[in-house]
Amino acid sequence: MKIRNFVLIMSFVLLNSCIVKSLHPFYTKETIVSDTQFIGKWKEGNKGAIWEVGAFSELISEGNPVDSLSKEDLKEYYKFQHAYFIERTKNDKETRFLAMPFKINGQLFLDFIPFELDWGFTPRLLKGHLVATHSLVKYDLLENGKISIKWLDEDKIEALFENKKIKIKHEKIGLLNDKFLLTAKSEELQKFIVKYIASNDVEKWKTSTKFTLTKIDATP
Amino acid sequence: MFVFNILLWCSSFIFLLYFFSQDNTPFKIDYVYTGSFIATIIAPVCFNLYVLIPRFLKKEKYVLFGFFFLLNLLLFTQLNTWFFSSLIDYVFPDYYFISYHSNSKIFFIFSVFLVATTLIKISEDWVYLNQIENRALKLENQQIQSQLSSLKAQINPHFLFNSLNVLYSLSLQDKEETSNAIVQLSDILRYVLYDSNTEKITLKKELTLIHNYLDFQKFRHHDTATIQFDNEVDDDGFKIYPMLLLPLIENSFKHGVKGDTEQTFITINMTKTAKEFHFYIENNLSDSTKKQDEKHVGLGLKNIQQNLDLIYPNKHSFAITKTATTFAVSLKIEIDEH
Repeated sequence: MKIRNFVLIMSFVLLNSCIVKSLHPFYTKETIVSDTQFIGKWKEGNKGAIWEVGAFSELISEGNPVDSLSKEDLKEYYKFQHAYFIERTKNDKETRFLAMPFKINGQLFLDFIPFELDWGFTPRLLKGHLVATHSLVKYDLLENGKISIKWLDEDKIEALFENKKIKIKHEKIGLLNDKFLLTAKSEELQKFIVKYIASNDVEKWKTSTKFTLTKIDATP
Repeated sequence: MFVFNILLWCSSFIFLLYFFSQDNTPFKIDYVYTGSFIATIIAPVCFNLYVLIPRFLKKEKYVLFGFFFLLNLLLFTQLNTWFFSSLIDYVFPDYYFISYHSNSKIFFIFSVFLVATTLIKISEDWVYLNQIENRALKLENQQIQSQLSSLKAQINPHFLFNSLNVLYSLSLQDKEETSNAIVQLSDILRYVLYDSNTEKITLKKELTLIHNYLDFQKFRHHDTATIQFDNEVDDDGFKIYPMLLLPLIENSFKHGVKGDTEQTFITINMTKTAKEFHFYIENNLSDSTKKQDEKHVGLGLKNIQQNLDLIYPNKHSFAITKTATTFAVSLKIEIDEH
């Protein structure tokens, strides 16, 4: 009975996080763009979560001059100099992400990955079992100053797999072995994005995980 | 060439299909991908097989062959990459061909295909050349055997003995035909001794030989046999292999025109058109020959048949028709003007 309950709970958790997960980033060095428009404080709807977005490079340097950084920090600094550090607060609970902006065929995207610092409260044994995965977010600057972020929904890629219309490296994960984890390299993932953008599916960005963010500290 | 290509590309398709579908269960997308991949590899392989190999490798221009081989490989590998990165999306917009092969793997697959098909082609040519060489050796051997057997068969002492008796008889009677008979016999012997050793002989010479032979035989048989020879030849300069027709005529005289049989006959018909040479000979069966087994075919006819298989492979027909009273042979040679 306990096992059945556990499986049901796990299935529920997984079904509620139906975004496409990847072992490798969706961006490559060549597609990263420098974008500062996302930096600031944002709000989901009227009573939603608060998003605080900053430059990850600032977090690394901690306000110190770049020259003073250690070799390892410097390497990290240059690798993630265009990335955002995102802190999402909802019901006093914080979740942190690293998001890398990149552009493919004129479309802006964000590569989201949970930030390790966020796991500070997590028990060590549990933490040892977790692997952070990347997710793909379509990122649009709306005309009214708002920002729309939409995650690529797992249902979409699942349909392609079920109809045998896609050949991309992946593994099936989860206790029921019914979830997909993309294991393709970043170059292949980008090839997929290019093709997906050009596809005829009018509902290709239809997703259950999407937010429209309004800037809180916007100057009138 | 057609069969070779069908076999090559069908086996390649099956091999690549299972190679590309790594889990060994090919789906529709794998069939589509493999078919498209084969389409991009056909051009460089055919170009190599039918242009580079005959023009450079077979003419021992190894450096040029190596250069163009590499160029062909690089160019079409690049075209394959371009095809699968851009063009295929227009052809199959609903399919996502993402995780297949890196450029280096595609280069490797193309290299394997080009090298393997080159080796197959070289092996095929080697087998073909070997066959030709063996056939030439066999033909040469057969020709020697044929010449020896024809000398044995044609200048048989019996024929010469009978011929000399005929000449003796004519000379005793002091007949005018004596000198003509000597000339005819001389011409026959010249043909057998000298012309039969040449590779080919004109129909004009064959016709002269047949006329001489038939006329000479009339002296022997004193017009007791009905001998009819019709010919319709559009080009008497046409050449055939020597000693094909005389043994057939001799055979007819040997087994048909004999003292134990009445109303003997030999009918010969020779035609030559632009497309075909046809020699037909029919004779009665003598009483002694009738007693032989119906399936019995003489050694001379077997020799002719073997010679025809070597000289005119797949371009001739040799039919023997034996009834209770007659024996007929039909020889047809297809004329290839090229």
